[in-house]
Amino acid sequence: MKLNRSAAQHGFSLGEALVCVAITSLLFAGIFTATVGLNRAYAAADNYFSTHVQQIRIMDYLARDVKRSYSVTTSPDLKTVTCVIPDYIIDGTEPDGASGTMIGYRRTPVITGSINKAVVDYGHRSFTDGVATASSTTFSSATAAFAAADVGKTISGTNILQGTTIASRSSSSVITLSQPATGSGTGLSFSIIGDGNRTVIDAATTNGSTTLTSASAKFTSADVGKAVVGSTLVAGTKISAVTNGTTVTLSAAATGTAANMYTSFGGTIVVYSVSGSQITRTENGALTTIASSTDSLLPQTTDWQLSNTEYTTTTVTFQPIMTMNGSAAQRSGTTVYATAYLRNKRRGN
Amino acid sequence: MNKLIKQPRRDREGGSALLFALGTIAVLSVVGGTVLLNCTTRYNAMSTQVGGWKDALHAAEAGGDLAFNEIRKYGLDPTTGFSSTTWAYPAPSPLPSTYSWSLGYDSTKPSLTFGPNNSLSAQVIVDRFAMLPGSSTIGYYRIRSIGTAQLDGLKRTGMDNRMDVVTKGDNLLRRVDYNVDHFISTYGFGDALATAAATTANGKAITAVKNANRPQVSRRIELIAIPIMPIEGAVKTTGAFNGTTVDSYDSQNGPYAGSNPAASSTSPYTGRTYLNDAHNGDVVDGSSIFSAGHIYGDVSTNGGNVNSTSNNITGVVDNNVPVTIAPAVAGVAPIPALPPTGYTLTPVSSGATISPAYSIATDATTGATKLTTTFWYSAPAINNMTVNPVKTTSAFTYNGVNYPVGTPVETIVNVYCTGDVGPVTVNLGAKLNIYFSGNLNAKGRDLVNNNVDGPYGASPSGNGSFVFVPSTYTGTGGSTAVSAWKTSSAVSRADHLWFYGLTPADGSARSLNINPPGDVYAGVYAPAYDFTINGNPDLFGVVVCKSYSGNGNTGVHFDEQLLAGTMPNDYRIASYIEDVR
Repeated sequence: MKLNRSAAQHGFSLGEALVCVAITSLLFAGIFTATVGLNRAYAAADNYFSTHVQQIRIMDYLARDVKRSYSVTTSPDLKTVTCVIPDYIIDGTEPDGASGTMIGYRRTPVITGSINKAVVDYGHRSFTDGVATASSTTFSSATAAFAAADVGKTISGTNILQGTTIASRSSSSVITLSQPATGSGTGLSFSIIGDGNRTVIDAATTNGSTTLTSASAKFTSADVGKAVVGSTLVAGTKISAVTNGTTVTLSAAATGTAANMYTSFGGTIVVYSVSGSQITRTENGALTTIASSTDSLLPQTTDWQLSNTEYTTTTVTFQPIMTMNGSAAQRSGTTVYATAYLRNKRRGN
Repeated sequence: MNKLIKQPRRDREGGSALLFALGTIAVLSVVGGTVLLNCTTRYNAMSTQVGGWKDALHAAEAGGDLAFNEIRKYGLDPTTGFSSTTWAYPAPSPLPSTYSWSLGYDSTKPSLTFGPNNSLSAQVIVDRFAMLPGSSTIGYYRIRSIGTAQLDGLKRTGMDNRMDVVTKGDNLLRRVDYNVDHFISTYGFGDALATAAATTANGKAITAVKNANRPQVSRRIELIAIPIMPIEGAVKTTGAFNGTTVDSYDSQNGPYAGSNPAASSTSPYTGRTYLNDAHNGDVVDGSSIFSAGHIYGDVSTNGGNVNSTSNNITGVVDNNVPVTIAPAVAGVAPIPALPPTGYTLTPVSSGATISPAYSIATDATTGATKLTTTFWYSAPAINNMTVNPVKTTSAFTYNGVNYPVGTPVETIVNVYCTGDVGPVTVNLGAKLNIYFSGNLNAKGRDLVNNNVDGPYGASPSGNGSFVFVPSTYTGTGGSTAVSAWKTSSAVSRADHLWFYGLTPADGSARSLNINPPGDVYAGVYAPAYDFTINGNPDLFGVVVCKSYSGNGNTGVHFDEQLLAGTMPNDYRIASYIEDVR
């Protein structure tokens, strides 16, 4: 009984051990595989959420900028969006910020244009120390810091006739008006209207030409150097010369022929563009990184212009790049969609 | 025995496998749970911050909407809007102490909170920062609204403030405040430099978040509200426009000088170079039907096919602009209640000569005495009616000049006419507003307006063109009374004769016909009327009508002073800015 029992126990223990080792190996292999899989799933989920957040961030940046724009244009391939935003905060690059004392101030806008065509203009500056002499075109101010770029701008105020512009600049404190003052005085309130930032609806271009015309733009020499944004214009285009009140020369040739085109001159220019799999945002040329450069996030924006409103629709599609059979393979991923309305659309009641 | 031996062995094997399986499941569950926990935590943090950032803008816009609603009420009727129950007046410094209001700043007023657990709030400031040109009552308003959203969860920086080693993603955009309001501590009221020292004047201060246990996001927007005026150009129609010449002038500079007046040394145009461009004769055509001789201004149509070259248009053409004009009914601007509160209608005949008497009355509200210069009448029709101004009843001296008895005083005469309108004469100093529900059919020469453009004549002793415009009246007569008056510096001749055609309730057709010969200086506001001007008369003023037809050698010369001559129909948001600092 003992031998039999002993032999049976030994044999069974070896078999049992082998089976146990085999089962344990399988279990550990399973656990290892599962752990590795879960770890990959974790990484994938983490990457998914991270990318999703970036999709949302791109949307939020775009929506914020579109909403506060004067005008928005998109390129034909829908991958470049250009927003023209009012210059709300005075900075050191603008005439009213040149002295340094006004940098950081929020501008108080002026309402330009006739009553029925009123436009809110954040590009002006006002002073209270004007000096005028009746029937004279000489006008002075100790604090205005008149700049060469002021020539051609509209000036308004006490004893200044409606429609008067700055004809010439003698010094930083003395200018010549286009029309004689109606009275004499010191300590006069006056405003230099606008930095010339404006949007017109009648611009015309010809494909391959650097000439732009607009009957309503009333170009002046102060417009040279301003950014120009329109549907047939390359991003970054500026005015390089003013031919006359209705014609300017652009720094880059138009990419299409157009008439009655919405076109903006000046302002803060924000450009979203896609290069390869990377989206970039520039504000007056300065880069703002809004999404990782390694993710394949492909935004497309369409600009819709209706009679009394304008809005953009944007999609940002995530195309994850994976390795398949030893080579990179791009797959369709998630797409986020959003609509943003321009709140500064000028037309309509 | 075999059973006794085998039984325990089977039990031990079964127990080990179960424990092992449970342990395996536990390990896998922990690993899987860790994955989910990590993802969920980060996702929740992200979604909370993104949601709060958007909610903050919604709160700011809600505050802006509330303010805009008050502006619409106050701007159309200053006795309404900005209730003192909720709005504080004036707004806190550094805004001006007049025409500014705040909501959510004054601790004695209700705060503006909403959303789940009142986690959203708004603070709003409104100020009237500029005035409509030519108006002392109609203003432009600025709305500054701050929306704040308190975030749920712990004060964590979120999952995606990383993009590369130097770039911060979400914080650059969303600017979550964890302990201190970064904007107030950095920019104060909004006009301080980041490097400036904190002072009471610039408002910079270390200000804790609203709830010490919750982070928050604030967003700031600025809106500009401007009035919508009933008059938007020389001619405005909801239907067809078929006209000849349309241009403009500004009566504050003197009478009309032509479409392209050159700088001249010839009186009365000497030195008037500002008239070189008389190109604000805009036409707002509410239909696709358009024809014209020459338009010195902009043109808009609703679906037309107009271009500037073939139609001789000097300005901008836009063929995609819908037009709506509110019906001309009593109580809706620019039509007042007929009669307004505090007045009664005095019946007169269609051919009456109206000569209001010089009368001092006591204001029932203020108790002050003042000269009565506004009068209301009713007539079944108008045919050869004559309107005179109030005239002084004693001689007096003003600014060292003697004025005789009978000097005209600026007087407003309103006539509510239930029938047709024909010839009428308005003499110097009188302004006649006709509110009529019939038709108008008259020769231009029979619609006589004897007022003048530009400043009233400065020769009070003889030529009869000097008119006093009373502002306040504190005495009973003589020089004491006159010293509180003022002379008018800019007068529009057209503004002294207005034809307001009331919109018939039954929708029936109405017509307003001006026939040759003779020119007319008047404003026409008749949204339900078909306007026709035949032959060669010119109209100096403005036309708002259902359809416009100008035959022959006619024209409209728009007096730009009439743009601000009426109360606004409404207000609109003309600008939207977000302060993204």
